[in-house]
Amino acid sequence: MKTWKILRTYLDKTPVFSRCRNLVIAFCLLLFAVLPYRIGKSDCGISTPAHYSFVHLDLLAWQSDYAPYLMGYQVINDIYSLQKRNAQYDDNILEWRGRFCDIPDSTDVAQLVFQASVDELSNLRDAAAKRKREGYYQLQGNTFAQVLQQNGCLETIDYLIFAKTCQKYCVKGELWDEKPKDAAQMFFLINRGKTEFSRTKSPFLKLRYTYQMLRLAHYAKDYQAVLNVWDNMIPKIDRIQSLMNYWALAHKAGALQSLGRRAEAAYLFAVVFRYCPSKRQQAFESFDIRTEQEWQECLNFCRNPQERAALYAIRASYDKAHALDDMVELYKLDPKNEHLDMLLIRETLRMEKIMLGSDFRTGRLDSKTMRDMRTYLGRLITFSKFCADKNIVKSPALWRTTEGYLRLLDGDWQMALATLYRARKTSGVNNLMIEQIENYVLLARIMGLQIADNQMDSTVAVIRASRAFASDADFDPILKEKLSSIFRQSGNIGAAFLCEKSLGDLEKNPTMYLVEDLIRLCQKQNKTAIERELTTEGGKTIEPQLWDLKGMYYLSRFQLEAATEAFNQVPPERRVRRFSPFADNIKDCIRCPSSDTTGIMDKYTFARTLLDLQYRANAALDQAAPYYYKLGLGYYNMTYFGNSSGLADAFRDWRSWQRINQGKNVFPVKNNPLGNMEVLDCSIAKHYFELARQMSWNTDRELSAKAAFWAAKCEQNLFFISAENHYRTGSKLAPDLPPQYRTYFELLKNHYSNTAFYQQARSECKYLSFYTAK
Amino acid sequence: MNYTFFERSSKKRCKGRILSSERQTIFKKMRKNSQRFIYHILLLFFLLFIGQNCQTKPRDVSMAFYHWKTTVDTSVFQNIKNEKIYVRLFDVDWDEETKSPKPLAELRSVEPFKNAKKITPVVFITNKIFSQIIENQIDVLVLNIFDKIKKNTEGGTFDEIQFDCDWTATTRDRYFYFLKKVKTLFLDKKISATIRLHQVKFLDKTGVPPVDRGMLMAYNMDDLDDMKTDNSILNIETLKSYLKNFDRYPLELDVALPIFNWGIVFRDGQAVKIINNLSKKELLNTPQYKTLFQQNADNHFVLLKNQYLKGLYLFENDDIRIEEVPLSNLRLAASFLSQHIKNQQLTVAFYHLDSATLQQYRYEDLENIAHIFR
Repeated sequence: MKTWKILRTYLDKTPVFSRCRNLVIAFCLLLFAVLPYRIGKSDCGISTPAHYSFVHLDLLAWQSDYAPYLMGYQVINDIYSLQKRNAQYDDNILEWRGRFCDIPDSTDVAQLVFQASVDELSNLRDAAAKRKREGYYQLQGNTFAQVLQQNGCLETIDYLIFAKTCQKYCVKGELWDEKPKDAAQMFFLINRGKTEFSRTKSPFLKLRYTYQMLRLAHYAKDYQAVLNVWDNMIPKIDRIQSLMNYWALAHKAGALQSLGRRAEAAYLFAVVFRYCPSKRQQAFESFDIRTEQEWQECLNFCRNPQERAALYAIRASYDKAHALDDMVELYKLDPKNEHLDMLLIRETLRMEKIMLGSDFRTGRLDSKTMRDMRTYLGRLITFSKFCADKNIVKSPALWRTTEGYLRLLDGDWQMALATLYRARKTSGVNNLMIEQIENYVLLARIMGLQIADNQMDSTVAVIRASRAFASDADFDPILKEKLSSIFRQSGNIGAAFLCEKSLGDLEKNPTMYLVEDLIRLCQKQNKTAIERELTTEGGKTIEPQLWDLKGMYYLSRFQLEAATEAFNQVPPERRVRRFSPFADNIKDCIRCPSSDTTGIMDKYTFARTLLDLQYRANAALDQAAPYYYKLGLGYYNMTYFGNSSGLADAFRDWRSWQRINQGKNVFPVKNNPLGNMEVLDCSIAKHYFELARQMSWNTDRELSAKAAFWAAKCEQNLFFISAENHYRTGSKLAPDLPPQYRTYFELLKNHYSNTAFYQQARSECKYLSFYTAK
Repeated sequence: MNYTFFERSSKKRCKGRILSSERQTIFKKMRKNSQRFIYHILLLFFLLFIGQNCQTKPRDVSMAFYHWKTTVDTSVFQNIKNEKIYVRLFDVDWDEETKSPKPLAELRSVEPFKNAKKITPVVFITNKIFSQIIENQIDVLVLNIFDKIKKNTEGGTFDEIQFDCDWTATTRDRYFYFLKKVKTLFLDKKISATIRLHQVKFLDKTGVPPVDRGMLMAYNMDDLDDMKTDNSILNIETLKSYLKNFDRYPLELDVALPIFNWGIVFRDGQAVKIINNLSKKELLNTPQYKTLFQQNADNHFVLLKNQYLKGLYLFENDDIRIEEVPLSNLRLAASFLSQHIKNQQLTVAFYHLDSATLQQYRYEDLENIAHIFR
């Protein structure tokens, strides 16, 4: 949900995409639509998000340069990476252009400043010295070079040559082959810089020379030299507006920090953070205060309340900080500070993540943490109300709206509604804020739903029809969760389940109390609209599917009579004929079409046939072998290993292979509390095959061999589901069957090797061939 | 065995008359029987001696330490004798920018360790590398690591190199390929790899690395992020649950035991920070901390107000779980592990060499722990 919101906002903010946003969204939807059906099918059911979010990210004053730092690292990753610009690069070019009255192109400035070689620049210098318009020089087509050449800006070109010479000493080395710095050469350049500095008249270039010298000293790791350069050079430069003031200051701060003067360094980093967007991220990350004493010292360095406020803003922005106390201090110092608004939204997002998070909603958080969170939330509400009432913050409407939302998070939806209505009337409310208030109001109405009756039906209908409901994808799941909770409280567990999950989830593990409750709901007279919605699919009742599930439930437990009765409730036209459970293919093949088309049947017919076969086998006395054999086939093929596993299990998951040796037959599935049930037990099938084998021992050796072979397959499957199974699925090697699981393979080898079936089976079944070869 | 002195003599007494020739025969038989008796006693002693020798031949156990810091605190060398030191040279992590592995947190040289009897360079590689890397990048990575180890170990001699990576079933093929390639470059060195407890228990899934030895890391065994965990570093019950499949594990194993402590900071029910070298004793005995914490359980301390602690800014209601490894637990861990390790030669390495941690354990105690493996 969050990702979608971020993507949507990104599309809006990015000029290229904003023009074709609908096209992009349509393409994404089309892409999902044409993905294979199975993906949708396997993920059926509504997945509950880790947490809901209803805060408009646009409220963050998206365009603010402070937003990424104040919103924490996660937001830096989520938002800043999408919007990332190389601020250092861009702002430097901007300053160079400004210096030359915006005449040269940005790309040309970039080419000259960042890409041109020392030779090219020297060549340009020669041309500039001659000041001939028509003279040739290598960078002739470059508008910045033209300006420099035509105006004879030798000082500037000299500086660019100097900066280019310094550059190679002031970059990180290769990842794996960092060469040691040539400190001697770096100090030689610092001295050369000093000479150039004295020769240069322009304060703009003097400042840049100083910056280059500071940089060299810093990369040479001589931090005292950094401070010396600063002390010697900076006082000699006339104050001018330049981002180099802050770039240089950042080097001084870094040197102070390396020399252990952390408080002073932190103060300087805070100044850089406050005034210099292009170095803000580094300043934020470098700000390092470790003790209360350092913090106090740092505050003492500040020259005005705004600088002190910046310190509190940085500390409040620490990853996972509880910012409230620092926000209070910030408010006292500078109530109109734009950090304060963003910190409020950050805290709201943090509280929302916890209060609307799955751990809180499901009570997984321990009681102390929940208590502490509520106390903190209460304090945050009080502070928001205070700021909104005082009306001296930058955006009182934001504070009032947020107060309403925080009350909602605190569970007081009535008070929340009253506050949100009040927020609507606050001065300074813009359209974005109105939209946000509408969302919060809608959420309050959802939270206010109490009893499942006809009135709730109409309220839900109004909620769903609202514009706000369509505007945020989190409304649908939270409404369903709320309805589920209401149904659960009134004892309608089936309806509660279907509010949040789907029939497909129930199919994975038909759970009898849910199935029966839903059948009861389907048969209920005078259903409410929501109940009608829950019990129909495509306009048809889901009752036949529920009877089908009930039948599968009993069949998976081998309760044939009950299964037959349940399947019989499914109208004949809704029964699916696609199973061939009595086919006796030598190889197990789950999805191979059966060669025996006459044996294709539905679940009801299968259950009845099994009952019939049991009767015939019991009644036939010594001619019972074929019936037992067929019973064995039926019971085998309806399991996970057979060709008709869908008879008793609507969802056969191939991944269960990895877990079938865990001594259980229900396995966890993402977003489905019921899990996925597999029918794994082949022991009944083995029992019938053994009866068939024994009874045909003297009369029909071929049938007896077949029965022994199927019993061997049953035995092998029993090994697969046993704890002794360490076989790696997908291995090209045959599993090493312990002796107790290969008795039938031995039997086949020793007693049936002269039958035609044995020879045929050996040629087709590699397992048989392997085990009987030993 | 029946010896029949009394039977025969009583027989003679009953008869009343004993001839001298008969007497001689009796003495001869008596002498013969007593010789047989002595022979059997001697045989018994011999067998006992042999048996005893076979059963109790002690393991060849040596003690070692891990040095895992980026800077070398030379004061730690005063606390140890001439044990082998596993020296972490550098980490390798995935660089998102270049989409390739990059070295990190480098220890510039093994020079400060030259007085140690033996050193083994260790390289820590994040598992992320092997989930991201493409096959032909592995060859380059091997060469880069080879060059870096060579460069960083100039001046030191060593016969083993260790790689530390928490590989999983999905990354094992690439990691094992990497190890095989490393072996082709360091032909004269032993290659060892750290092995997590789960990698032994689930050896069928995670496989066995193609190395000469394994270093079983008997620590960090419980879920650190879970607030209900009592001690994620060493929990004897958890350890016992992991002691499976050692009889099937084909590698000779050394053992690494923890001698560190830390505090895990929980905020809003989530672990948010680790404070290294924080102990219960420090929180209870430092006067300025006494009024700032409330001890909630044996090893849980709750902050009563926002404050700085060990360089971190913490908040009211933050819950710090102190995790320490008492000697008694180290002893228990050693005795359980000792029963499952098969090899005769064994290094018991303590993680890690640090002046703060070494203050909490006496050298003799650590030596005794290592002796448990004998």
